[in-house]
Amino acid sequence: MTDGQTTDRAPTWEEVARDYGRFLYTVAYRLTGRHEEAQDLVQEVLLRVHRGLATYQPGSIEGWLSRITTNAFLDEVRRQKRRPVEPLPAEPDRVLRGSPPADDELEASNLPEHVQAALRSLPEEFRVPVVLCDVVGLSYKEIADVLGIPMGTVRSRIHRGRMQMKEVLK
Amino acid sequence: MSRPEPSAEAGPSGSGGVRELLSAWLDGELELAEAEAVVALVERDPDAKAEFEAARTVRAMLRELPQVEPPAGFYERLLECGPVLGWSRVRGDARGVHPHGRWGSHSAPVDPEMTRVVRRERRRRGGLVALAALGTATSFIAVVGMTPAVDRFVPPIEAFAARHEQMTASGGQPRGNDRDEASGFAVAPVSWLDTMAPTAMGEYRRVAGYRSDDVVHLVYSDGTSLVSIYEQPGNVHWRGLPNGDRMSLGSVSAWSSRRGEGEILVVERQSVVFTLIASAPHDEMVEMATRMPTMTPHVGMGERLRRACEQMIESFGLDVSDR
Repeated sequence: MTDGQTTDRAPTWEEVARDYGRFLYTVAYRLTGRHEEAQDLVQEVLLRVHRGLATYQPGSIEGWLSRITTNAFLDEVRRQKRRPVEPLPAEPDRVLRGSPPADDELEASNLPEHVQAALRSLPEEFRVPVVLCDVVGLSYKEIADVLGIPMGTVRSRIHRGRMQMKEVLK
Repeated sequence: MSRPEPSAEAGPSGSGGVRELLSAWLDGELELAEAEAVVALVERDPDAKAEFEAARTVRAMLRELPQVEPPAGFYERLLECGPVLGWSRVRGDARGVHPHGRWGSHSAPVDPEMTRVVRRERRRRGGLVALAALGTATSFIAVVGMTPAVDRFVPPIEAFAARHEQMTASGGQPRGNDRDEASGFAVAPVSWLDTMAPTAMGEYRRVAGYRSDDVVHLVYSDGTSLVSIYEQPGNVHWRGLPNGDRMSLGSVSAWSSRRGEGEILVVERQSVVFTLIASAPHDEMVEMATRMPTMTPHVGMGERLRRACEQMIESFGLDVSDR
């Protein structure tokens, strides 16, 4: 998804909204799992982009946007934990209510909505690195930088996240 | 052979620790020695091999997920809102896009059938009045809306500061008389204010709004101190301002000056000039300045009047879009 585009100058706000709107929305939706929350998240991200353009350092725009998106998402998660609005679904049965039993046929669950539901069932400490790796396409080093965690933790969380998804998708 | 990098969350060392490298191996994120350890594990342990295959399948599923399209018009609303994003909820819903939702007022869900009944009754009662209002509105638009709004000027800082001090003394609440003859400011209708002004900014809540011929004065309070925001169409004549600090806030120009315990901050955005006066810390002032509500570039009193007239017409139950 990412082409790792870099630029030597700060993009304008309009360029970010126009050229990276779909990218931001996709990442936001994969993180939140809900269109309404994704729209709010994109709006918050673009507000932060607007404030942060003055301090933009030349480099990967998508890496920069991913960092902002991730931070905005985690801020919101923390805010909701302090003041819970709606519990995140933790049980596979709730996530995939009505889906047929799949036994070991993972492929049978290969519908985007099932995969998205399984993704959303992950705790955010697993979901975020998985999204950054498999949706955004960041390297483990970039993910470690974005999240401020050691490389070993990134490896562990991505693998555990994928394994939890496998269990949900069974 | 070097040991795999320990993880803060890794399980016990041995095959369990190496197993957690299966995804990293899959992603090509291991050093050679680490990869050799993983290969050895997969070759001797069928469960590890199955786990690797499962990781590969899940990864493929994730990477094949399509890009997600937002609701129709989302990008357009993003671009339209532009730098005033902090004041405008871009998200739309089944009831349509709320143009000033995030910081502005929120309409309650409305039963469409009830709306039709009420509007029909309003039409019956108010048709003549509405037509008169429409004529008045058209006149306003023709006379005021055509007036060029952009010019360079120095905001009347002293007058604004004096008015702010007066507000502070009275707690920011409008007094009984709607019009202050001395300053020319009148209490602005709430419905009109809600088309452009947020009801809250962080801890600060809007407690009053006023307008004069070409100035909007909004007053916010956090319970202990007031913030005055004066909004005028046009551009600042920066050199005409008294001594102070010129600065850039992102892409916009600004000027600030200390005044007693407080600060005066002048910001120009999209040909709208904001003068903020408060005892708040500089950072809070800047934060508020970056969130100033400009509706669209070059919005002047004509546009505001046009929108106010639209609201007035709407209140009479006439749907202008039908005409």
